[in-house]
Amino acid sequence: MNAEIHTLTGAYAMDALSEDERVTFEHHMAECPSCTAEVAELQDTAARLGLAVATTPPSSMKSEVLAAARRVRQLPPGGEPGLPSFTPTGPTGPGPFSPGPYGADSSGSDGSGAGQPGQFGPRPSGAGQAGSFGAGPSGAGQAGQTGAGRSGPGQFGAEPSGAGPPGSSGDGLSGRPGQFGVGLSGSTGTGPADAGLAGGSGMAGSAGGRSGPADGPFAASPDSAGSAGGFAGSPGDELAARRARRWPTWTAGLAAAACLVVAVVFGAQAFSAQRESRQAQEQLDLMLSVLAAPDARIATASAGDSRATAVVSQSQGKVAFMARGMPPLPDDRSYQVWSIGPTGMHSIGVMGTGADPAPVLGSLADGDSIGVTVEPRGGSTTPSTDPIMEFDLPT
Amino acid sequence: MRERARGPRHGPLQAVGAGQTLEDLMALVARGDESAFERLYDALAGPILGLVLRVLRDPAQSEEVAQEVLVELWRTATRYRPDLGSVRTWAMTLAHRRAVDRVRSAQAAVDREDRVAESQVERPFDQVADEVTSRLEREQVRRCMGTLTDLQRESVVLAYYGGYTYREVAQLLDVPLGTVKTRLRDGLIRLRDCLGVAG
Repeated sequence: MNAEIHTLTGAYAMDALSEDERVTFEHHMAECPSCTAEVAELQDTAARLGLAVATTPPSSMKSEVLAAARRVRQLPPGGEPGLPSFTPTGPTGPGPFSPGPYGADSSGSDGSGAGQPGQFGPRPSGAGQAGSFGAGPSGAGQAGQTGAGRSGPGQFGAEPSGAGPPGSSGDGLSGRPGQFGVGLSGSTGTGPADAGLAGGSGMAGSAGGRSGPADGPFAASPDSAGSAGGFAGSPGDELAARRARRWPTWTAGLAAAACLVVAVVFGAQAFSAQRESRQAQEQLDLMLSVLAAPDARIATASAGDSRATAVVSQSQGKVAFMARGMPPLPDDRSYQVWSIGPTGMHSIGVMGTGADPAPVLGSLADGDSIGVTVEPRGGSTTPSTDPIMEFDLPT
Repeated sequence: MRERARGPRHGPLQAVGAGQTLEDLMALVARGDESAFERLYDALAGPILGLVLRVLRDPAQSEEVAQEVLVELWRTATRYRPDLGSVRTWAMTLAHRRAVDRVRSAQAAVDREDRVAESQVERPFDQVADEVTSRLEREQVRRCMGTLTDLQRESVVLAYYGGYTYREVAQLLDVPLGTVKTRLRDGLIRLRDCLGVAG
């Protein structure tokens, strides 16, 4: 057979072909017994690579799988063409797991009417997780990035002028993320106990301050982003502890996202109360579009009772920024948010008055950081004071 | 342990106690034996989740995909043909494909590009080694990975653990497509021979 296509056995065995190439190669395999044999061996080999990264599943997974299996009818033996995923088509068929993964799966669902996604139908809840945020996959990425760009946490504490009680407003918010955290980790299929844990650590990450200890989890390598609080098993269990260490960023990131979603919604409501609702709605839509951007990334900072969260989408060139519990300013002053980049500082927006101002949405170039200054009420075209806070963003 | 009709060896996970192989269990599962499925779960859930997690990285998604794979094993147990491959390979192949399917969905694409920018290229295998629970398997794979050329190893790691197409691997490593194709194959063949001898 074609020597060139034969070299695709390795790529095929590792699912590294494009869809078109996979189909072509499977046709080729159907008439190339030596390819088929080689693929089988290489799949066997690849499986060994997979076994080498085995992990310990969360205990909740077992009961969920067993329960799900109980709800799923097994295929009848034999198998009509195109039905099952990995059924050999016959002795001369293209390899042991013949109808490749992608095609087979889809044909399986077409043919049986109880397709892959559907058969797991009343999926415990895991599905909700990604969907509800519209940022499931990017969640992990976000979290990983969140820590990377963080710096200068404490500057937030520098009170510009007013003294006043900063804390009160933050409380409404701080109650929220916890609830969100529960919802979130619940949706990863873990029990309520784990949920509490995830919520808690999310809070620690997003609201608990950017101090030393909090940096630990955030600074974790991208590799470690691949895990969740949801996986953390019983506390005290060494494995569970290891998993929890390995996977904190995701939780923190999602909790931060939850925090911001709540903040945006509540902020928009406050906004709406003050101004006409169409404008509020537009603002909310813009916020949500940034939040839902596939490349949305989150950074948080806090000091004392002040908390700030930024979501950045490079693809949209936008940032949604919001702060809670900011120290009150005199009536003739406002907080103004700036992008800080090579070309200087450019206004992102002026924060509303009060301790819980509406989120600010504006443009941000790649690599810019964010600064907040105290300006004359209504804002300035160029900053008239030094930033009281600077905020590095994940790039 | 029963010798498979095809394929060079069995790994440490092949035995499931009491002389039962995964293939034996699968035959019981095919008849609707839920306790056999539970034992199958015990043997395969860790490897399946570990692999999916390695590729997808997102724990919630990974658990979801791993659950789908395990239920799919139950659903299609009746179609399993021992003469065409081990249960273990069947399960891991399915798991990898599902993970890769997920990764290649539009939503995941951006995230994956981000990962390129991160550090996976630099020390891929050390990262991989972190999550190992099967010590023997890990040691064998690590040792055999060490017998590959750098380019073979990088290609295999990016394609298998990274879930990249060989085109993406070529792009990442900045080498011609044809080179990656052959490195993937040569690398796997070398691993096969190495693991076969060791296993």
